[in-house]
Amino acid sequence: MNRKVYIYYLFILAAVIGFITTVQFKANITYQGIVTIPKLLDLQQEIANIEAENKQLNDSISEQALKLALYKAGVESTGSAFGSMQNELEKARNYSNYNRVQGPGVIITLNDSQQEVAEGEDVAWYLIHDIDILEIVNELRSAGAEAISINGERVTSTTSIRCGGPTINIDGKRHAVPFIIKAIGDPKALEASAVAPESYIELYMGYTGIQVEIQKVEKLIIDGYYGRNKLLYQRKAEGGEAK
Amino acid sequence: MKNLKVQITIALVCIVLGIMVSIQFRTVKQDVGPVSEYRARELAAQLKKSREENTKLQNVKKEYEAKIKEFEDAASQGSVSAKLLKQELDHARILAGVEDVEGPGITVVVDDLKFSEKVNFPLISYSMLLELLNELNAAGAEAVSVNEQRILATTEIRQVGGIHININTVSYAPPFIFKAIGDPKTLEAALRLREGIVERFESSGIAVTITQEQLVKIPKYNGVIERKYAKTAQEGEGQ
Amino acid sequence: MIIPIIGLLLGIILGLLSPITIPIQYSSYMSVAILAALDSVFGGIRSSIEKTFNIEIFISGFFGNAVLAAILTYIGDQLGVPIYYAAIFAFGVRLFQNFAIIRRYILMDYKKNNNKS
Repeated sequence: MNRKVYIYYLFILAAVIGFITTVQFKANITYQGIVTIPKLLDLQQEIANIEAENKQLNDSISEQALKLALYKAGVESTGSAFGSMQNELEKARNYSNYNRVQGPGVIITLNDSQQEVAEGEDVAWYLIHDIDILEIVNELRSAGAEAISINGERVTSTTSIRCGGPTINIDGKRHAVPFIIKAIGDPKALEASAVAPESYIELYMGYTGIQVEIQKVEKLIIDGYYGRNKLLYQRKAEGGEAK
Repeated sequence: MKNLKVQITIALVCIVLGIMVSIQFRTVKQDVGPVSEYRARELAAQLKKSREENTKLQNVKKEYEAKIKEFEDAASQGSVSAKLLKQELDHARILAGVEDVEGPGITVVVDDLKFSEKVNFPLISYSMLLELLNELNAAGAEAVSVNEQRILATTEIRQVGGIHININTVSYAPPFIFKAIGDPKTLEAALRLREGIVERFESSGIAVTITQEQLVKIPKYNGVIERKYAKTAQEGEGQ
Repeated sequence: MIIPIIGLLLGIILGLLSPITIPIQYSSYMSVAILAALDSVFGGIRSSIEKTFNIEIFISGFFGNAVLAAILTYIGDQLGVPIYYAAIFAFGVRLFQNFAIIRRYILMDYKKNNNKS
């Protein structure tokens, strides 16, 4: 290869490199760092979360828009929003679980096991504990239960369920077996969640023969909450953001 | 002849290599999609868009809330009964969890110190959070939030794949920050009982930090409380 | 050269048909192991051309490198030092070097055959 040809080759190569570099530079791409799988997974997770929040916000906005429209209509027809506010109070009371509500749902009845305690096993496994009820209530919530009661005690956001010797205290009130959990919601979805193979009932309660009965009901009535006053410490946050 | 033996050896190793490559390929394809700069950029752009959308929605929501408040305030100026109505409405909303609230209380930080992330084993399980929430409630908490998600009567706490836990359908990884309004002393004492929940958490390697505070702010629930099935029952109707 | 390629294709098909997947958090170990294996294969091809091929060295290198790379990645993860970049770098450099040498041999072979005919 003589010297001249070699120069031409280099010239063409240099031109190509120059061209590619400028094109890339013009694209003005922000550097992402080294892309790794965990990084991508994190990004995906974060997007999913914000999307879930956006969905909540969107739903909430349409609800507010409806409320506002009702207020406006109320003011136009009666001169004040008083009537609409009364309806609003009705709804808020339902949301706050102080109202008696009715609707379709399921009744789950739990009773301690009647089986003989097998040798070397703890009798505690054959009894119903606070954690069992907590888990079942949590699963009902996941399945979209709108109102839940345990032996007539309405379950609110601050309901506590704790073992107290042979009985279970629900919001501080003693209850013994059988435990009757009523839940209002889509009966099919609620029943499905309770009998699913990976449900808490199937996984942990079948083995020791704790008696579980699940019943779909067309019309259930669940009483409102009538326990302790929950406005001793909290008050409405005026102005400023709760952050 | 020797060359054939060499080739076969390399071929055998190539089979193993091929299996490794295709398994990796399927794994990555199934769970993340292509691991490329382009994809990272795409996701980053999507994240930015979602965030902008989020800010926009929050502003829209605030606007609506302000307008509704105007209507309610105007109405409550009118008469004593309207004023009482407004008060009741505020109370019901506070109890329902659709109003920002504040008051004395505690913050509880439950952290696994990155342990779960490293070994991908959920050191903190959803049932532990359920129990902690239950303890707070038993100690008289009036309002609780976890990682800024207000706990409602219908809030679920569920494990979703690996270390993430869903609260109000939004998923979170540790640390979990509980805020509770109530008597700070009672709340902390209940958690710190002998053989109580804090001891149990710490013995399984979870760090728990409790701070008593004069003023805890707990945000309202951002979504809509569904009442498709549970309708208000008329008074006097039998069981 | 045909037999190794057939082997590779067979392996890929087997992997695609099998229901096995590895948990996503271990996929970075798998990726360095793949790189190590690839490095061994190129090394093997090179030494077979140079007629210095040794089965024991080849096989032990294949599995040894893959395992060592995975272990280093694990240790790096625990220490928070991305040691696996070092593995990627080392294997990557070797891979290209081996490929360059193989290329030279093949080109030389090709030229020789051309001159003969």
